[in-house]
Amino acid sequence: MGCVSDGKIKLKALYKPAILIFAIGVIIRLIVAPLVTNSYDVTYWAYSIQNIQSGNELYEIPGYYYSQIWGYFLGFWSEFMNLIGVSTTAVRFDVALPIENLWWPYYSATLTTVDFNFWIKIPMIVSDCFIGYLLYDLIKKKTSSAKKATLGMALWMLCPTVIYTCALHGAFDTFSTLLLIISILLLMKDRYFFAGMCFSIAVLTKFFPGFFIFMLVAYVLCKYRDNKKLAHRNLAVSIAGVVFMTAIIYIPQIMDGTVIDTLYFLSSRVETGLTMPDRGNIYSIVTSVGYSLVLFVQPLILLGVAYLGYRMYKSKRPLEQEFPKYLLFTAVLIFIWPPSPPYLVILVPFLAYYTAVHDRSYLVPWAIIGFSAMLYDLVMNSASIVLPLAAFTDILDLGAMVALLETLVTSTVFGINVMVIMMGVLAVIQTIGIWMVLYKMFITHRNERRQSSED
Amino acid sequence: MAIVVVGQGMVYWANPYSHGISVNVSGDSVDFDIRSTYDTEYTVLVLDNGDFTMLDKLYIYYDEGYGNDPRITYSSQKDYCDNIVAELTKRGFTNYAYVSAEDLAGVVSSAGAGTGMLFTSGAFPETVYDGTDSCGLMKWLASGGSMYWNGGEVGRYISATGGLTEVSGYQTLFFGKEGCLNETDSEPGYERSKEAVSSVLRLTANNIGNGLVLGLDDTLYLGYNDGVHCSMSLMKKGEGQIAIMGGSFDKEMRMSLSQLIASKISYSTTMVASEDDYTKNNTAKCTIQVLLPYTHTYSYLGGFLLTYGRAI
Repeated sequence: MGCVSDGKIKLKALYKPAILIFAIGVIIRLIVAPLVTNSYDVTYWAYSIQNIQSGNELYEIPGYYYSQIWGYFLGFWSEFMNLIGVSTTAVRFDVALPIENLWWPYYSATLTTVDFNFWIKIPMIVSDCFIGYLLYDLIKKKTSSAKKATLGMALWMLCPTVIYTCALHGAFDTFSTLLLIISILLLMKDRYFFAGMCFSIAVLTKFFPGFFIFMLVAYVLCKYRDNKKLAHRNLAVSIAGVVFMTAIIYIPQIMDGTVIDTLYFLSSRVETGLTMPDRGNIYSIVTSVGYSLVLFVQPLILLGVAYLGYRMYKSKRPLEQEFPKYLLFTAVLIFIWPPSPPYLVILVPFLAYYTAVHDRSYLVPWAIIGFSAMLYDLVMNSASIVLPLAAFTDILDLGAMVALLETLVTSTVFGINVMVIMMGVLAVIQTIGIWMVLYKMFITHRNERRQSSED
Repeated sequence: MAIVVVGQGMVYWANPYSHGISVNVSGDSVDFDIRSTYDTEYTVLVLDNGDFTMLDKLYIYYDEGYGNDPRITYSSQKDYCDNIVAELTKRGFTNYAYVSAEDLAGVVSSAGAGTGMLFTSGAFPETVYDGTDSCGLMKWLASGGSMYWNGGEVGRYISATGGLTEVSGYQTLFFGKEGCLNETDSEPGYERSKEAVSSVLRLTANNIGNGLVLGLDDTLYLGYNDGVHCSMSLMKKGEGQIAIMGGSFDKEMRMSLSQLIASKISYSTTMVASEDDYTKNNTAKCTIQVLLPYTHTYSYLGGFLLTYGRAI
């Protein structure tokens, strides 16, 4: 992690087109952030801050449904916003009430202000920038090519679904992605305890980094394959880091008996998946069938990523070549079904790295995944993304936007809901992109093995 | 990592947020002194309850030994009540107690004025209710008690240790005629109440399922309606009152019901004056000239995202 090893970010070292692309990525995010927002989620960030400001802890009053890391961060960031004069304000608009009774339940008549929406996303934009810079630095060090480094960084900074998730949706997936990358870099720098601590935060921010556990364990064991005692010691130190940080994170919930609430995010989805669909409601059918499939596939994915860890451990090829490949293998395997746009962000840096360093033909699936995931999110959120802008400025009319949202969400073609059709088509396109990466990796891997056996 | 630890400290160990509202009365003017460690919206109300005795103590009924309405599980009821308690505490209303069916018999044996009962069970226990006008609950209401009802149709079930009994003519008992409650469990109302106090208190619950029909005498209709039924109603019953809350245990109803209880309003309440503005540099001073009689004030911070409230 040479880029931050001396505590300074060496922007001067960036290749000039890289600065331009980096700046374009930042500017797009800064323009998008105040204009459009996923009000449903961002309103819950406001509820969470409200509970913190009122002296209630994260799970004392309903309103916070995630694991605790994001809540801790909101505790920190809300105080910063308070210091710079940004108040946490939301208004419930009567004219928007009907949208809460549409078949898709993730629309809210309670809207947060434009300045709140902008400032709450600033840390996510900063996180995106860190990831972009880390990608550039890593690829530059690996290949000594500024062009490849710029490409890798561009594939992150300009990826449509990454921009959407961070600057529009206001989802914090970028944090878990950044923390996972830092964990990997710390392992590569032999900083095992800190790597464990960082990995713990990554997993407790969003659970997807947890799928990388087998790959990281395999890496630690492979790195000093010739010195098993040292390898086992390093693994033990990493695990100690995980346990230490997890204990620190969980102290308040252990003390006040709300540990189970930290898992609500996970358990609610399992519950939805196990519920039989109500045939009178499109949403319940879509979500129940969708989550049932997720639940069915998860054990297979878990077995798959465990097997990948085993394969890398057994591989005789150089670790520095195998590790990025297996990381991408793992990242793509997580999303074999169904594609989940906000969560897909964690795949992008690994895909960007591999595309820039090894094989530019991966640009095709990158584009398919990046655009279709963004469009999937856009169809899902529909016109609700402009409601805060309409509510708090004179640029758009709130009543007209509510009517537009109702029309878009309820329109049918041949008796089938248009939104469902579009989401279905885009989900298929995303799946094609995901499986394309998987197929290409499989072919590459097979060719490498043949090459090795011939050598 | 540092941010996570600092954030944890702010949320759990060293909450940097504090707030307070003091009220001074001199002659015709009521002075509000508002302080908080964060700039926020404040709302102050001057209210007149007339002759109705203000709520002082709330009893929250919860008893797993007695049956609930089949649509209401004990766990959802307990969670909801605990959340109501947290919301009430935020609003400065801390004089509450959980009571069992046996305890309730003791409560209704005293005069009702100044006391309230919250029912979220969908059924009254047989210790206080038998479906007639002469039962303990009805006498307690007649003597000035305030009953808050949320979940199902009020008066429909009598609960016992062995299960439920359905009461015939329960709507006549409570409202003087049948057909006063919405038979649908969940239904939105989009028409906001014309009562100013409803808007100023930000009573946002708009589920009119099992809500009370519009047009009854001595009833304050709050929240929202669909032209037929209302989401939140306060109706005179004897010397006391019944608060009928529509729908189930959702977020909006939790906050609206808590606001209703903590603001201590009644079916006879009129809003004498109100003001809404933002604090500057974490403080605000507000003076309201009041020429009409009033019984109390209610102030709160945060607007729709309420963080602090006090009835004084």
